Amino acid sequence: MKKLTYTLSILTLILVSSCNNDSNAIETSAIEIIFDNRISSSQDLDLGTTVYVNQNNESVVTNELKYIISNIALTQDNGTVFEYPKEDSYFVINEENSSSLTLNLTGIPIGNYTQISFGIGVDQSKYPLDGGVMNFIPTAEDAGMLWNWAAGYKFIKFEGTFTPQGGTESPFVIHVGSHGQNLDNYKFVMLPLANTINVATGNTAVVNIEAYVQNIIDATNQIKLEDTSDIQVDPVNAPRIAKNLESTFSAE
Amino acid sequence: MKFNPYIFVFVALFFVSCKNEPYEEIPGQEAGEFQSVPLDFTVPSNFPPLVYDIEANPPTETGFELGRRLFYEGRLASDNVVACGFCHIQEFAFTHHTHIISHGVDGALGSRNAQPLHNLAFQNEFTWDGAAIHLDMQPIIPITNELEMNETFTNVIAKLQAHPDYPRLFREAFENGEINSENILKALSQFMVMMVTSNSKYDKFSRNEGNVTLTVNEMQGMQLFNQKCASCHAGELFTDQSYRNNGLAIDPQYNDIGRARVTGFTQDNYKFKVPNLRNIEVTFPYMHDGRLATLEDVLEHYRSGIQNTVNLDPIFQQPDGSLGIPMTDEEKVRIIDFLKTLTDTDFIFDQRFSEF
Repeated sequence: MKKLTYTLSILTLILVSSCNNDSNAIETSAIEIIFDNRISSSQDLDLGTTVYVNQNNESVVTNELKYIISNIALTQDNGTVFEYPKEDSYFVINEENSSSLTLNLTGIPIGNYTQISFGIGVDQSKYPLDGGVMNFIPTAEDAGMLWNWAAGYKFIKFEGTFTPQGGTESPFVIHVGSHGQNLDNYKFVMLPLANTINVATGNTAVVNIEAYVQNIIDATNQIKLEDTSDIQVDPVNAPRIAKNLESTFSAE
Repeated sequence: MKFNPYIFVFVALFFVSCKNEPYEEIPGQEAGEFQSVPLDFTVPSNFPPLVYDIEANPPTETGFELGRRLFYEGRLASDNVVACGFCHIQEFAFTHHTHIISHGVDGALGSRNAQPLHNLAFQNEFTWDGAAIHLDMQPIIPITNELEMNETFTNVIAKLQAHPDYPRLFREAFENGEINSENILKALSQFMVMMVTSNSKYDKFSRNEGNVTLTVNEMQGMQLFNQKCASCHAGELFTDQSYRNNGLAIDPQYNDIGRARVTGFTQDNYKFKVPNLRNIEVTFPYMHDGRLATLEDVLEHYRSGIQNTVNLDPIFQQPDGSLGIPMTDEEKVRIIDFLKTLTDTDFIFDQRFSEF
């Protein structure tokens, strides 16, 4: 009998340890990440109507705003980083489609979170074998975020019109992605949360992300649309836009 | 030892406890003729190392077969007809025989000549301008391009899901059994990775196999090739995989800027990837737009047809200011003699890669 007990306990141990991805895992809960695309902290964005004046005195109207978010990670107050499963971590944020502005993430370990980080675009350094990049194709394609002459994603699509002071209205088109292996425009941002988020069983914590559209062309780099109104596979201006995206987002 | 029911129960529990495959075996469903066994992939001894990460997507019998089916599957196109194999015909080393530029759905015309498909696992970038940086991603371009197959992945997935065979073929090929874009692309890669051409007369000579020798003319041609061509068509792949402007007159109809479309750099205008020359005898017509019909025309272009267009590769500019690669008529013929030793009939008639 002793022998049997011994055998049974070994088997029980194997049985329990072999399934460490279910019931006995750490407790988790859900969060909602809500994207609010705005001109600035004080001015909201309405596609096709809101006018703002950029630093080059051009009146800008946004008609389309889409961008790819990926590789979401959350940092706890004790420094623990939780990386959301990469294969489930690719999203298109589309200002025109309100349901795309809220991301529902589940399986977040409970705890107090002080920072959120994510990629803007698709990280090509692990291209494409990192889980999920290839299964993101239909979503990106439906949103028009896939180039069809190159095997790559548009990281941001920002289109509208601009009117220089005393000038006439013209369209602008900004599509930024990576340029083959030559130029990687993927950016990763780490945003401290203005207020600590408590992820607890039974409730869904909310992380609010604000994106200030005016920063896309006016941040580290200032883009004068009158000079460059068409930025697509532009080796000079695409990286300048990508750089600006690093300071476009804030979180609370 | 006496049969012990406790141990039996625990062992049984152990086996059922970790089942997380999304698909149960469907008893009534007929299994296919192929097994999920790994396929042997050997790098030919005269070849450079593999570029493709074969560990990340190891070809299996079932994955390869699925890839083959998909390669010849018209449902990947909006008209349900124009499969990959429509423009990439095996007997011509998977090029579009007699077509200067490739045709797509509804008679649409592309602007470039379909490239041969072979030794892809050794290539670092794909298409004439390097628009795909990974083999797994390359098929996105022809599948979605409106001048080629003009289809969306969403539609392709739906069509395959509705098909009587594909759900089973995906289950047999991939652990998660799903019909999704990742598995479609991985299966196509498994098929394409196996497409290795390494059994030409030249290869056998180069590897000292079976007393294969080159004729005097072919040997002379090889020496001339090494002097005049091998700086770009380098190594056993016969390409250095760089992008260069080889002095073709700019065709105003397309004004194809080549590599610059990917990089955006004006210094890349009119540069195209140096093509590999394996099976070159059967991959006519030549050049990115198929403008040259024969190998004679190609060598004549390099001798006398080079145009001094923007970013012309310095290699074609001789010290005396003339353009092109000097060669006599006889040297041209010898080089072509050598190029024909790169034809690998084992490959172009290999049953594994054929549609039927």
